[in-house]
Amino acid sequence: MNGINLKRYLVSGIVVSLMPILIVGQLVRIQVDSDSKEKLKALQEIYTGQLVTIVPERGIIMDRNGHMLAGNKVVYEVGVELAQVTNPHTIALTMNVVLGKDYSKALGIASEEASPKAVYRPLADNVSEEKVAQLEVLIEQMQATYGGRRGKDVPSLNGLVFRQHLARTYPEKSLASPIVGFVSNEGSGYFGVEGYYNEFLAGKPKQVLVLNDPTYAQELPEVPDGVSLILTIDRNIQAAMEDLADRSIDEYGAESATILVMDPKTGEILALATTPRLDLNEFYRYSDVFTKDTPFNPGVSQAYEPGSVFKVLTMLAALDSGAVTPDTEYVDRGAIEVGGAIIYNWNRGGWGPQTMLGCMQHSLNVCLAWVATQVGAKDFYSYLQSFGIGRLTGVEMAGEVEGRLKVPGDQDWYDADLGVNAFGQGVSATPIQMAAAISAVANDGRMMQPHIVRAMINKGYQQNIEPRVAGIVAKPETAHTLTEMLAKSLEIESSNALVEGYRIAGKTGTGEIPTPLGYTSNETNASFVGWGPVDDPKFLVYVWMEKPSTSPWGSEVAAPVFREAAEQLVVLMNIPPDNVRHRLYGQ
Amino acid sequence: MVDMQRIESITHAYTQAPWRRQMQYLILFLLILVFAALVAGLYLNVTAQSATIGSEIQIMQAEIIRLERENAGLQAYLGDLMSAENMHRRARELGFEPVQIDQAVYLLVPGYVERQPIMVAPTYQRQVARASVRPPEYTEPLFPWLERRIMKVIFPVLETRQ
Repeated sequence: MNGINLKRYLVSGIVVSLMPILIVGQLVRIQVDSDSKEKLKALQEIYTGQLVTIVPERGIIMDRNGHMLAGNKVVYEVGVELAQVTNPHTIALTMNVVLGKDYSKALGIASEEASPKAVYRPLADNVSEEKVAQLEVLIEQMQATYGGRRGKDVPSLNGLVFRQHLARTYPEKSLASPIVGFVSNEGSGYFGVEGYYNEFLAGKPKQVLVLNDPTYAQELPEVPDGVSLILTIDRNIQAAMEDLADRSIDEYGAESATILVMDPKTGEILALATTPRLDLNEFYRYSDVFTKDTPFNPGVSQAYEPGSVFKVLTMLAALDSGAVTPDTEYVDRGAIEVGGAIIYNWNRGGWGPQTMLGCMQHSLNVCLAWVATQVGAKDFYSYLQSFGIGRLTGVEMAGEVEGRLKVPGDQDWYDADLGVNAFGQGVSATPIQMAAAISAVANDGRMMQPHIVRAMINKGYQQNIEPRVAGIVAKPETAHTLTEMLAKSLEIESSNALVEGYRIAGKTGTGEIPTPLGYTSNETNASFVGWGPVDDPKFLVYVWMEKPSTSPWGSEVAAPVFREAAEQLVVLMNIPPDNVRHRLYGQ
Repeated sequence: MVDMQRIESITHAYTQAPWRRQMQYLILFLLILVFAALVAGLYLNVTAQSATIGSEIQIMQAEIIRLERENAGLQAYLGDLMSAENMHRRARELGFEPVQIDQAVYLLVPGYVERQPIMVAPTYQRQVARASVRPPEYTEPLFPWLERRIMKVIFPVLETRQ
């Protein structure tokens, strides 16, 4: 072995020995240096695979007969693969012309330098299939015309890509919109059942590591769709009530109208029509439609002083507690003092001797205030609390408010409140609370839990939601007696609420609107609550007209609306006139 | 000396020629090479198949997702076509008009069942464990089965009496 060869062997030996030393050194450095560890981890993630979020399909919402109220449609996210972009100007111009996007903003995004951290950038979302088809045609045309040429100035849509996904759609547009609510672009539900059941409807997204290794035959996990809902509402009844509410506003010059239809035997809400309404496909117009303090769904979100419809509850408490009977006589002198406050009748006149039927028929504040004193504050408020006044009903719509019921012991409760609360002043309640409470009168004293969801479909199975009794708030005899009183009082005064061929029970209400200075405004809330047929109630309708301008009285504004609602309901619900029903069914 | 020669001749007799030994090494090397090539070929084949299947699975999964989305879109389209607004318009175009309260005629139709609540999926029912319906041939051990068969052949009467 000569000297040269020895030197060669020596150098080779050193180099070969250094390599494992360097490798070990690098291993130690990675273990010790946190930055290197993170970098390596990031690299590992890049080369191992990519985290993909599997978003389940949002559950659909249907009415009680299976008509779709909320579904999902295919839309696209249009974006750019930055490394593929050859002419950002063409892309920005196309975004501007086809999708109406801001040119400079799109240019800025498309011009971004591609890097491991900047691979893809979105340009527009919720783009319809038609628009994407238009873009695809443009790409093809551009490819055919300029495909052979090279250079930065050659028009090109290279890098423009489309990613398909689902977005919420509402085939019925504004129909039942206060009940349904809407889903934002971010996928969150707002208002109605969309808001209340957002998590159930949305389902649970799952993140999966999809490996880049093509030899790894990986099956994506099954992600169950969101829960679908079948509501209690009937689309046809809802449409009819919404049409009626819209017409009533014009006819009576009211600020808003709320018509709530309920099955008093089950607590199912058959329709809840309110104004104004929003086309849910254009939810971004929310602030244009709901200006100032207008609630999205006044039926559950707006408490108001209901006025004389509240007398139904006062009389129910009085009859049930035995404080009065229908024949109890009260001499109405036109005024009564309760807790230091003088209470007058609606016409400031005295009505002389009156039975309880007369008191309800003429809607006498003085008489009902006296009735409340006969019940006593403790029992009166105990009844009101059992009717659910002042607390949430739990109906499955987001944004429900509880109203206000002051009770003895509260700092702002005074003895005078007993007198004014008796005829629906100084107490606020939502239409859903009022309807639920009064439905007990139509249902043998049993108050049903008001609900809007009839069934849920989860993982391929349907779970029906059975009606639930919220409380037995009065004796069946009391409920029958009061129903009879209210039916008679409508018949005696030939009310505008009467429906030919059907016996109806009901009560009008005219509530003054409080201002910071007291009840100084001439504006009123006109209400009517009624149900029928009296001997077998199939529906209960609660009408609230806010600030009507043609007349302040519930009997002249809300009662005719109730009649029209009932006339449509008996047809839509196949309810024969009483005499026909008795003849056909021998009832 | 003679012994030494004998030993050498025996050693010579049993010692292989150098070219033969080299040939043996070569053959061994080639055998290992062929085996390694076989293993590599097999591995390539399996991984290629696996990659193809993996790719097919991904394509099918993408297709399933696409079809599910298309299905959802079509459902929504159907919902749109059958919306209350569209149905009312179509009804009006066909000459229908809403029934008024005084126009309705009510009849008692024997056997008529009123509209029932919609069921879009089966109701959830607790799964009841069912008894195995497999014949004993599939469940009993070999020797008891064999014994039973033999007994059946030898004492058929006894078998039936039991």
